[in-house]
Amino acid sequence: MLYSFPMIAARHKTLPYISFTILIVTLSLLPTLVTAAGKKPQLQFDHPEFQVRLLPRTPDQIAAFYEARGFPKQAIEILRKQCFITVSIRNKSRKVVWMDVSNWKFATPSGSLKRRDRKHWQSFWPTLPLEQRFQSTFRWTLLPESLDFRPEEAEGGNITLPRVPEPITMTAHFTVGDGSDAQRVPIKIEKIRCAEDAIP
Amino acid sequence: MCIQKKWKTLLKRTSALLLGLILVIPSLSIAGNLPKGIIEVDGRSAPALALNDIDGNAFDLISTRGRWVFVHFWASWCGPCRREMPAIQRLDKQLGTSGIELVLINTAEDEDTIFSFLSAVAPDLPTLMDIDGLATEKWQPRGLPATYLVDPQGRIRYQALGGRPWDSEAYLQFLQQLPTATPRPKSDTTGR
Repeated sequence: MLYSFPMIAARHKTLPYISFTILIVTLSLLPTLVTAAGKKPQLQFDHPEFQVRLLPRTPDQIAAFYEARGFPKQAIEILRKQCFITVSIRNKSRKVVWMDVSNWKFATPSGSLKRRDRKHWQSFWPTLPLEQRFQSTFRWTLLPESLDFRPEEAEGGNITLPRVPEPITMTAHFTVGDGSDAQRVPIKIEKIRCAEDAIP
Repeated sequence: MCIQKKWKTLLKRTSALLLGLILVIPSLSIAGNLPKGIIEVDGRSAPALALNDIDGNAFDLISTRGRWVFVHFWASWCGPCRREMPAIQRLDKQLGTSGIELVLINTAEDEDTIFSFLSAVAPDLPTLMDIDGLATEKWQPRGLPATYLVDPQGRIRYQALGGRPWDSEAYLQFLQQLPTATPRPKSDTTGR
C-alpha cells in the first residue's frame, strides 16, 4: 500500500495526540495498578444474604489494646504469641442467619489448625492467674461461639489460632433461614495470614 | 323520634368503637412497627442485677418493679458503646417523667476508666459497676453494647441489637409508648 505525502503528513499530525492520550490513560491507571499489585488479599466472603470479613491483627495491635485495658504483662506476652483474627459478620437479609463457630475448620498446607476457643481460655487464665475482670473483658472481645444473626444485624469479635507462618484456609458453613426453608451455605476463605508487626 | 333514637345509638356505637381503637392502637403499633434493631423477646424473667454505682450506692433491679426499665450494658473499649452513649444521655433528658428508668451497667472496668470515659462522653449519666463482669454474663448479651427493656413485672420484653440512635423520633416514641401499652402474651420468639 502506498501512502501519499498528504496522508503521511496527516498521520504525523495525529501521532502526537495519540501518544499523549496513551500517556494520560497509562498515568491515570498507574495508581490503580500499583495498588492492586501491593494490596493484601481481601479476606472476605460475600453471599447475597450475608457477609463474612476477616482482619488479622498484629501482635502490637493486640498488645496495645489489652495494655490499655490494664492487662498484666504476663497475659500480654501470651496474647502476643497468638494469631488474632477479627471477624465481622453482617446479615444482609430479612431472614435469620445462624453461625456456629464449632463447624469452622482452619488448615495450613502442613495440616489442620486447632482454634483456641472460649473453653481453652476459660481453663487457661486461672493457671496464670488472671483477674476475673480481665477474663471477662477478654471473653467480650472474642467472637460468640454461636449466634442467630437477626435481619440486618452485624456482630463481630476475635478468634485465636496458634501463630503460624503459612497461609491458612478457613472452611465453614452458615445456615440461612429457619425450618424447611433453611439453606446451608458453605464458605471458604483462603490465603489468611497471621499479621506480623511492621519492621522498624 | 325514632330517627333521633337511631342517631343516638349510632353515635354511642361510633364513640365506643373510636374509644376502643384509641386504646388498642398503641399496643398494635408497638407490636407491628418496632424501630430498626429492636426485637421482641420471650418475656423471660430478668436475671438478678444487684450492683453498686460509681458513688458506692447500692442498686437492685427488684426495686424497679412497677416501672419499665431500660437496662444497658457497656464498656469504654467498645466502639459502638462510645458512639451510642451521648444519645443515651440525651434520651435520659427527653424521657423525663415518662415512667421509664434508665439503668446503665459498665462491664468489667475499673472506677478510673469509667470515670474518665463518662466525664468526657456523657457526664450526666450514672452507671453501675459490674467489676468482675459476672452480672453481665448472667444476662447473656449478644455483644456489647446490649440493651434490654424490662417490663413492670420484671420480664424482658425487648432487646436492642447493637448501638441505636435512642434519642431519634422512632425510638423515643417507641419508648414513651411502653408505659401505656398493654403487654402482649408470651410469644415463641427467643432472644439468645
